[in-house]
Order: sequence, then structure tokens, then C-alpha cells
Amino acid sequence: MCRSIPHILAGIITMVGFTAMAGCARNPILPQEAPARHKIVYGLTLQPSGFDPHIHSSAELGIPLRQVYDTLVYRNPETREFTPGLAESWTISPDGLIYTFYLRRGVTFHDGTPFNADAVGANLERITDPEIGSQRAVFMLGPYIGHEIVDEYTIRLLLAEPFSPLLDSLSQVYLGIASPTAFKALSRDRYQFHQVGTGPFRFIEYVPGDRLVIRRNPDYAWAPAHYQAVLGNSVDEVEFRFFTESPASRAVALESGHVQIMGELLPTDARVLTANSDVRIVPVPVAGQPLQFIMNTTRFPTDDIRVRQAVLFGTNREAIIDSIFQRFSPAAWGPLSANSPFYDRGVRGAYAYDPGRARTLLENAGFADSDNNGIFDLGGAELELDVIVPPWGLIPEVSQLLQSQWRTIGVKANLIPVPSRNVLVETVNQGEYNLVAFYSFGIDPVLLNDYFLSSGSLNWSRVANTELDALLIEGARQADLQTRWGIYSQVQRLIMTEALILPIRDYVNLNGISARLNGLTFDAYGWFPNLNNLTEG
Amino acid sequence: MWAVRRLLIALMSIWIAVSLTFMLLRVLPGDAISVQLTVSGANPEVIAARRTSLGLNEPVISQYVDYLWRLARGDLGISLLNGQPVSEILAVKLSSTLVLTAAAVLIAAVLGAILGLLAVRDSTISGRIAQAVSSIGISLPIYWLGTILLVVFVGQLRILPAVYDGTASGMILPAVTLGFSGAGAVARVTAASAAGAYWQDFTRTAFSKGLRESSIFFRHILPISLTPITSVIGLQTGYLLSGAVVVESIFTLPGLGRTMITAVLEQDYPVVQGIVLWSAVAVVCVQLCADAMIWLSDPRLREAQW
Amino acid sequence: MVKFGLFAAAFTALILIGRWISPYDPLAANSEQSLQPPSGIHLAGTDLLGRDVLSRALHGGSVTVAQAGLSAGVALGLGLVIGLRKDAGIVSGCVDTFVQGMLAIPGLMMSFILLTLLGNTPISLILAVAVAQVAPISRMIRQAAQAEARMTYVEAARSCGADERYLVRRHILPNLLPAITAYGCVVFSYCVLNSAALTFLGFSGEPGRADWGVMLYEAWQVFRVAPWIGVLPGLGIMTMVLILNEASNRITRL
Repeated sequence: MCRSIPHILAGIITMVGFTAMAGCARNPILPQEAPARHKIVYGLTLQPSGFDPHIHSSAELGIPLRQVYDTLVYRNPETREFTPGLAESWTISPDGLIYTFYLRRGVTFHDGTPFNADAVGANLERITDPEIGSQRAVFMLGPYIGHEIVDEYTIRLLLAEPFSPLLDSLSQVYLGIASPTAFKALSRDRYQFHQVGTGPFRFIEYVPGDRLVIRRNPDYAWAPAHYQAVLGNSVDEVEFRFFTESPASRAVALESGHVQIMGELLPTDARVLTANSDVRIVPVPVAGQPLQFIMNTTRFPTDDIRVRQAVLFGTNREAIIDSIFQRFSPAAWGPLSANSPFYDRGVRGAYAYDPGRARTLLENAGFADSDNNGIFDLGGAELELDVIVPPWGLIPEVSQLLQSQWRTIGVKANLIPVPSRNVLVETVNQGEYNLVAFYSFGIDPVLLNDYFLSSGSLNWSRVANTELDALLIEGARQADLQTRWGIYSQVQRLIMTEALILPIRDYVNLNGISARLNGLTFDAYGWFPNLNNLTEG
Repeated sequence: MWAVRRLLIALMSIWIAVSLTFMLLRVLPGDAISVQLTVSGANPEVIAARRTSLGLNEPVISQYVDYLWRLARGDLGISLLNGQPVSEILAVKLSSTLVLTAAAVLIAAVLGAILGLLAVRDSTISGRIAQAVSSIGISLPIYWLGTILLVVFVGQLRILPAVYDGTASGMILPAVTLGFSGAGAVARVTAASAAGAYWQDFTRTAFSKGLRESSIFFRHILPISLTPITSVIGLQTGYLLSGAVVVESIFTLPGLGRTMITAVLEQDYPVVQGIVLWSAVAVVCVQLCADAMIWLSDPRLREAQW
Repeated sequence: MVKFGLFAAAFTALILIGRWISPYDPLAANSEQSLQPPSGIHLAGTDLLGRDVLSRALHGGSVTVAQAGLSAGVALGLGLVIGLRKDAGIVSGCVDTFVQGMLAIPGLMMSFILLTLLGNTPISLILAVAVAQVAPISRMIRQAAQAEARMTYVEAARSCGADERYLVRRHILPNLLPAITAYGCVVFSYCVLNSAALTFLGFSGEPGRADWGVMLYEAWQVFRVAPWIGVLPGLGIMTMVLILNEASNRITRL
């Protein structure tokens, strides 16, 4: 035992040193109350680096915090149109530079602070404060330059240039409105442990890597139209737990009844669980980009459009979806998934599986199998593609199937596995790749700008197409919905004509839900649940 | 004199472990924040400004000196990703890892000793079973065992919780998984030393006196086997700490192992350094303890150079 | 003794000839054959990507042995060089402190950091697994060598004027060889298990390659749908580790 004693001693010393910290883990601002009657455990599948929506960027943080914060506007989950939230109505100036919001009266934060234009202003100041170092929210505000408080319940947001995704940004939890009293009382890094919003649930505690707990807000009387009235059997406490490294454990936890809602089940496990009457499988399509491989247009051999097109024709999406995704996902044909509002049907089927055509394209590009090894070559160089493979989303499995599919069209794929997003970005920055799997979620098609503008931060196809640039820039400015739709239709077709990406499947989140629960819906984005309507029994 | 010398070496090893990690991490070009911002669509100027404000654009040497200076004052820094003080992260995560390893050591010791002592008599059925069980313990990859236990006890029998809820029952499966793999090694050593004890003169004398086997066992064989058992348990503790990383992942325990994985992958340098520092201190303390015991028990070693 | 020897030889032979008796290409994915249970066509079934599990297991043995063997070889080689170096001098002292520092970092943590640094390739996996073992090996060898160096016959040889290098080569190393071989077998088995653990944590070297550790990881992902996938690689790893441990025991007893 001799070796373990110092470990224990070291632990005791450290623990004693930080007992004070453990003592303040519970949110001190809120009064203690009776234990919850309907409590559920919700399994999260990513470990967000931080939980402050104004600062951090993880999609996972929105799952609990969507319940804690209200936003100025909401999107109707069915129609996806903007509906009133904390703002009862709004107007946009004809030049698109001034957004005026008329705020709801009688709203109070969980700590009793009244909600008004000053509160909204304080939130905007916090998000744009360089000291805060926002990793996402500030970028969602685009060309925002400041705000103007007209009266207690009217606020104007001022832009340097038109930015049509602004309402979309304001409908997301990253721009959720927090209590100024709460975040001013705490430092930048402390606030995430004691968050205060106006939403249907109150933030109780967050222990990193362990749990996050929220509890029903009994005073919630300013719900958006699609939220339902709270019933006697409504779920009143939700404990979020992290099932990050071990996807195979998720189904076990759900099946055992210790977890009532679990996201991102493995498709094979979801298939098995469909036979289990205690559990319902709820596949939810997520708007945004599909699982896609971005093709590098500046490196041999994918610098040749015929090679990129051959890769598209040589890929059998259905085979991948049948086996790896157990038919839970639709095939993807373009840069946006089919359930995205700006989806262009014109791309559908454009590169249907046709290995013969793929080989012809490669032969036209001058490739031949001169050494008879089954792989095309050109001037002594084998037709090899370097594929960067991140570990998430079953991409390693997809890549292996692609590898064997492409072999039949005479293309060799070298898989470069990367263990994390950081290493992925660094490997991409070194430029030694032909394909890289990466995608983002969101409803507004402006997310394509980062990927396909020649100056975009995620322009990993290294495309510099003036037509595409012009369309994307106009797409971000254009306010008229129809015109915008037309622009992004052109964008999607252009991206596929240029064969910049290899889309595989639309992202479908496989949620498993205890059969005892009713009323679980997801918001317009597909990733964030609406736990307000959740009832038990 | 020996103690002072040994203590100095201990401090130096901690310093080397920490410096080695510091330099290794700096070889990688990126950092937690730049990647986060790239993905959010920030332009290179914004990223550069953010890096500067975090001190990441300073030369590595000055970052290193700064780090050591802070360390000397007991400041472990803050996480690049969520701004939490590293000492606080360690404090929260440490307890679960400590409980896990302590419970696993206990299981490894008790189960290993029992299996080992049973296995000595390899002609009996219980001896054979004990040998087989300890062989499985040694050779079964730890995550395979963990998965089987998870599926059987949580998925099928539903007698244990799927998530660690802070109660003892949530710690049973992880501790058993980890402890069982240690028990195999302990059993082997116990069996070997107990077998040796059977052939000692005093044991044979005891047998010839007609003493009952159980009393010979408890009076003679068990005591002589205890020393090697203790030492192998000590050795196993290090491996158990490594194994804890895997076990925490399978059973979703909020421990240091998982924190370490995330921190390395996300290049959250201060957190990685904090965890390495803690483990280095722990391992070095254990070694000091072991060295002291060897020194006390074997006078020949006192003349050794090191 | 004979029985164990025969068993070990048969297992080794199976690993060696595995790739020539395997019925299918271990890497040929075929999504139409996904997750087939064992049958006459696929004796051990197929995995998620429709690859023949038996063929993968037969190929995987030599890959696993080669990989773990190389790791163990690198680790033992470095451990010997560091452990048997000359005692005196500042350099030796520095090396000693450095080894102490390495010992202070838990092995898996060091492998993990190295793999992030070197990239996820089979070679970096070999190195990362090896480096984590170097410090404990060199410490063990050093302690044994120092104990040996104090033996009377070494003292006698030294008093006859033999130089240190000669002593190490002629007396200390040969006498330590059985112990080092026995320890080497155990290190070998650790390398097998550690690279399997690193695969589980996301460092497979290359996705889908035929290696028992990688296979076991793939099996774990679809454990509830297709439990048969893990049986062969799991038994393979267990048998290999057991043979190595038993070999180590037998060498020690000799």
C-alpha cells in the first residue's frame, strides 16, 4: 500500500484547500425549494469547453441553456419563421442598417432583475467586450457597431452595413439575454457557474465534466407561441450528464433507465433499440451542412475538376447509408441538407453513383493505369488522395468504405486520422491534403460564407471564384427573402458544378427517449430540444 | 545526507517532468483558442490579437520562465478554454480519481492475495479456478472487461447505475474493472512467494510437528508472502492510474483521466501541465517512500552511488 | 513444460502463417455484407463494413506482434543503454535525473501527448508505446546491474584490473540476461495491452487496419449488434499476453 498513501494524502490536502469552492458550487442567488417531482437525466455527447453562451462556441451548450435563456426572437419549429420572443415586435430600416426592437413588458430574470432595454444593451456590451473574448456570439452579430436605447422598452441595433442573418443570430442561444445584475456581479469566468436568464428553467449548478442541473421556473409567463402551458406532470428538473468518449455506453445508459433522453446514439444501437418498447428512437434532422468532404482545389490531383467529379461519381452514398447509418439518414447531394430552408432541389441526383463515368472522367484527364496495379497514374504519379479523417460522426468508418469504393475506380485513398478538431485544423493549415471532412450546423445559409468565400476562415477547398465571392457577399447583405433564396440556389449549384465538396448524408441526430416521456420537441435548428413541453407518464 | 540528496532528486524530477511537458506541448503549432476562433469565422487579425492578449505570442522561453515563476508562487494558471483556475479543476476532478484508484488498489490487493494463495495448491479445483481467474485478470484488455460488465450489470441486470452519481454503487463497476486487472498481477506474485514459503525449512518443520494446515498457513506462509505482495501492489498503483483514464471514459466518471484526454486534444496547455504536475508529485512521493523502504531493508544499497 | 512449449509454438505458427491461410482480403470492405453473423461463407462473421472477421484476425496477429514487438524492442534497447551506462560523471547524473523525471509522468499520459505531437500513424504508435516503457525498464535494469556489480566475483575481477566496460559486457550483462529476458516478455505483453488502450482512446494508427487492438475497438463500437466480432481478436490478445507472462515465469524459475 505504500505507494498509494501519498496519493491519498496529496488528494486530501488539495481537497481541504478547495472545500470552500465546493461549497459555493450551488447557485447562491436562488432560494432553495422543495425537491423536484418529475426529474429526468439527459445525456449530452460532447464536453463543451465552457458553458457561457456569450463566450463559448460549443453546440452542446445550447441543449441545456436553450431552456435557461430567452432570445429576442424565436423561430417557429415548423415554419421556421421568426416569432416574437423577448421582443414583441421589430422593424428594420429600409437601408437594413437599423433594427428596432419593441420589448415585452413584465418580464423578470430568475434573480428578480427586471428585463428592459438597458438589460439588452448590457448584454450586447458584454458580448462585444474584447475582455470577454467571445468565441462565437460576437461573430454572429456581423457588422454590428452599437445600440441605442430609445426608451425603457425600445432598443435599436445599429449596423455598419446590411446583414440579413442578424435575426437568425438573435434567435440563437449564443445571443440569449442574461441578467446584467448576475454577470456584472461575477467575473468573466465565474458567470458560467451561476447563470441567470428569463427562460422556462433556472440554472441550478454546473460541475464541469460531471453534471449541469436546471429546474423549472414557476414564474415563467412570457413563453413564445410554440411553448405549451405547464401541466401537473411536466418535467420540473433536468440533470445533464456527459457521455462523451464512449458512444457505445450511451445505449446501455438509456436502456437501463438511468438516462431518459440521450442524443447521438450509434445508428446500430438505435436500430436495436427500435425493438425496445421502453424506449423511443426519435431521429431529428439537423439543418446546415451535411456530412461532407471538402476537396482541396489547389493540390494534385484534386486541382483537376475532372478528378473531383470522378470522386463524386465514384461514391456510392446509398451503400454507406445502408450499412454505417442503418438507413436513418437521407443521402446528401449539395452543400446544404435537404431540411434547410434554403435547400436547392436542383443539386439532387447530380452526381449519382456511376463508376463507369468516373473512370471515363479520369481517362479524359490523362490518367491511365500504366503499371497495371489497379490504380490510375499520370506521369509516374499514382492517383492517390490524402484524406483527413476526424474521429467523430462515424467519419472513420465512412472513409474506409470510400477507400474501397474508390479503389474500384482506380483511385487510392490514404487516410490521415486526426484525434481532435485542433489537430485537424493544424493538419489542414499545413496544406497536405486532398479531402477533409468538416461541416457546420445552422439555418441561415450565411454559414456557407466561411467555407466558400475566397477569404473565408474555413475555405479549405481553397477556392477563389469571383462569381461565388460576389454571390456570397450579396447573400449576406440581401434582405429580400426571395432574392436571397435565388442567390443561395445559385451558390449551391455553383459549388456542385465546381465539385468543391463531396456530400455524403444529411445529419440526423438519433435521440433515444424513455417511452414514459411525452412532448419532447426540437427547435428549428434540430439540435436543441424544447424541454418546456416535456411531461412524464 | 541521504534524505537531503534524495529530496533534491525528487524536486528535480518534478521540475524535469513539468518542463518536458511544457516544451513538448509548445512543439505543436496551434492552441485551444485559435482553433475555436477559426471555426467561428474569425479573421487572422482577430486571432492574432487574441493570442497576444493570452501571452501565447511571447517567445517560448519567456513563457516558460513566466510559468515557473507563477508555479513557484503556487499559481497553476487558468484553463485557456473555460477560464477556470487549473487548481480548481484539479480539486474537483481529483476526488473521483482518488476514490477510483483507492478502491481499485483495495480490490486488487484483497482479490489478488486470495486468488494467489488459493492458486498455490494447483492440484485442487479451487486452485485451478484461481489460476484461471488471475490469468484472465492479467490478459483481458481493460476496456473489454469494462464493456462486458457495463452491458451485463447495467444493461441487462439493471442492478447498478449507468452514470456515476456520487454514491458508492456508482463506483462499484469502475473499481471492479480496474481492480480486477491489477488483481491478476498481485495473484501471480502472491502465488510465487507463497509457493516459496511452502518449501522453507520452518514450514516443513511445522508440518512434521503435525500442525493443522490452516494454522501453518496463517502463522507461517501468509506473513512471509506479505512483503512481495506489498511491493507489487505499489508497482501496480502506477498502472492503475493509467488504467483509470480508460475506465473513466467507459463509465463516464468525472475524473482527471478524462480531463487529461480532453485537455491534450484541445491543447489546453495549463490544464495538461497542472495534471502532469499533480501526477509527478504523486509518483515522486510514492518513489521516495519506496526508496526509503528499500534503503531501510537492504543495508547493502546504502553504499550505492545514487 | 512440453505442453506449454507446444502450445506457444502452435500459436506462434498460426500468427506467422495467418496471412497465407486467410480466406479473404482483410481490408476489402463490402457494405452489402455488413454485420453478417458467422456462417459457412464467413466462419467468424463480418464487421460493420462487411469485412471478413476471420481474415482480419489471421492477418491481425502478425501486425499486433510486430507492432508490440517493435515497441518492446525499442523500449528494451533504450532501457539497456540507459540502465547499463557507466556510473560516474555528470552526464550519468543528468541522465539519472532525466529518467526520474520521465518516471514521474504516468505512461499513458506520455504516450497520449506524444501521439498528439507525432500524428496518428502506426510508427508513432510504436514509438509512443515504447517511450512510456523506457524509464521503468532502465530503472529496473539499473537496480539489478548495481546489485550485480556488488557481487564478490565482480569485485574480484575489478581488483584484477578489469575495466568497467569489460565487466559489464563479460560479467554483469550475461548474468542479468535471464532476468532481462523475463522482464522483456512482460514488457512485450504491456505493449500489446497499451497499444490496445491507446486505440480505444482514439489513436488507432490508421482507421480499419487489421490489428487485434483495432479490431477489438471496432467490435466494441457494435458490441450489442454483433458480439462475435470481438471474440477472435479478444482471445488472440489474451492468449498472447498469457503466453508471454507464462514464458516470463518459466524463465525466472530457470
